[in-house]
Amino acid sequence: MPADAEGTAARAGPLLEVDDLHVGFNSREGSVHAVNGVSFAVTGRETLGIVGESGSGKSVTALALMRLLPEPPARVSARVVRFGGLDLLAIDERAMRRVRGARLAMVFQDPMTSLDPVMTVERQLAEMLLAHRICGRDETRERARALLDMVGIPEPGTRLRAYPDELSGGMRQRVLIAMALSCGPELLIADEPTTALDVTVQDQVLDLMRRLKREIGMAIIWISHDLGTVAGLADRVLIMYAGRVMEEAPVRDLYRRPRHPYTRALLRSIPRLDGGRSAALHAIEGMPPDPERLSVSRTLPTGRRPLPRAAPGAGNDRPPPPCRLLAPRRAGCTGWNRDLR
Amino acid sequence: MPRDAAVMRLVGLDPALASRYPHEFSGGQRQRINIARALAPEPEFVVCDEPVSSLDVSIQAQIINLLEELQRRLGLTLLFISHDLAVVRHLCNRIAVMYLGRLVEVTERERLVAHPRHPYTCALLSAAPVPDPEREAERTARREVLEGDPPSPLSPPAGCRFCTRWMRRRGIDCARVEPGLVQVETGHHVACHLHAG
Ligand SMILES: Nc1ncnc2c1ncn2[C@@H]1O[C@H](COP(=O)(O)OP(=O)(O)OP(=O)(O)O)[C@@H](O)[C@H]1O
Ligand SMILES: [Mg+2]
Repeated sequence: MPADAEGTAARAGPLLEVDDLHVGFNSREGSVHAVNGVSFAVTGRETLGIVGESGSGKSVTALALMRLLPEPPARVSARVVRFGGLDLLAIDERAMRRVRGARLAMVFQDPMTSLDPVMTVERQLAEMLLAHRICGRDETRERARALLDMVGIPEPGTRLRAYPDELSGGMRQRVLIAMALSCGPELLIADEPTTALDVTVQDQVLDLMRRLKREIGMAIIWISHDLGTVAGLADRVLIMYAGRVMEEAPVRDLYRRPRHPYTRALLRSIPRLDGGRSAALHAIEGMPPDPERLSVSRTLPTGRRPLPRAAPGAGNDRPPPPCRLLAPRRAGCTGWNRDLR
Repeated sequence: MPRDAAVMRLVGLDPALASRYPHEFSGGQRQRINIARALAPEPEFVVCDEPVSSLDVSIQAQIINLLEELQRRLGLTLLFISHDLAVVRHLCNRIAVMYLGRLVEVTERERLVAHPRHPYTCALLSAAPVPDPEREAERTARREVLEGDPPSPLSPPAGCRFCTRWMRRRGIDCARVEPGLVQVETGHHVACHLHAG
């Protein structure tokens, strides 16, 4: 990034600012605390990776930012959710519709839920372009073809006439990315876009994302449970656990010098292909706590204690320690101060 | 049932949990129970079909360690099926790589990782993201991205099944003649015209 671009970004403040986001769900059985005080910021042109195990609250965080969680049953609150000067939780739904898909776009975890099976690729792209007044009716075909070309779809003219189920998984994922890019968003949220793909096809999509990042220069939030895909894409990484941020750091620091014991444990639990074969993997015993049993107590626990991992059925209502701000990076947990020097 | 209790203990579960319903167990515990079930009749040979692919990494590591320990203690032979080459390399002595229903390469694990011969094995190895930013940057600078998607197994390509995705195929042979698995070195078999002697 040229020095002046960096300067402008810094002066203008972050593109997205999230402070103390909470999301709960009410159900007959009780309430689920899915996201418990998450804070982060994304600046222009930056890629933020969000990593966490299943159920840690990654998708719910993204859906809350897009205002796509119906309330009720969801309950969304935050001190601040500001995007490009707009208070996203305060603006009305009409204003939100102008932002969603246009300035703030998302690629969802399940490709088939966001593509209409009875509409051709061309029509789906055209509807997006027309709804956001990107171009006139006579230009949509050319635009749509250019978008498919940009995401590396061969023979884009032919693919425009295809229906989603006529495309391979990799092609479908590219179409979704093309749709998300159609209005030139300032921020793209990609929720596990490669998890369902073969490793060789995943590699193609990662390559595409790196190229788009370079060429378009938009900001990206890349959500994944895979520390591998994040390593090559993110500038900064957030580690989530039980709806909280455990650690946040620039990508190199996070992998080279992880501060939080949970981050370290995660890194040591993955078998690797590079380097020598490790003798034994580091297993984290137990499993993440059930969000229905988490209390939302915000008091900081004191003393040294292990990360709460629950055996199912065994009550575990202690929240993991929340994140404290530690410039220039953050690692949650007071019980581990020893590690935070 | 004392025998069951012993098997439960063997896979690291409290025998008191035996009366619980499946939905009351975590993914990792359910996988331990599956393993206990497979081990109860004291087999010599166990087939594990993607036993860790739906698990989070922290729990995946528990199951891999358990399988390793059981293999050592009971002298089991395992056939471990997975799409994750890093997991297979960690756990297995020998690795067979399949593409569209055919074995394309079979050899000892470190040999496969260090000296792969089949272009598909090479592609698989170089397509896996590395959880280290610097090494990942090196990988993406070096590797060739494999073109296209895997064809449908219902109508595999004629000749070598991999030829539609390999750009440096050797002219006519690849698209017409299916290569057989041949030994290229002791204990190392490859099905590819490039290595047909
Ligand atoms: N609509 C809902 N109603 C009730 N609970 C929900 C709802 N959506 C999500 N949850 C719960 O919120 C928690 C966080 O879910 P979320 O989908 O954000 O996880 P995730 O980190 O995206 O996991 P994965 O890696 O499996 O996609 C989970 O415990 C989930 O069961
Ligand atoms: Mg998710």
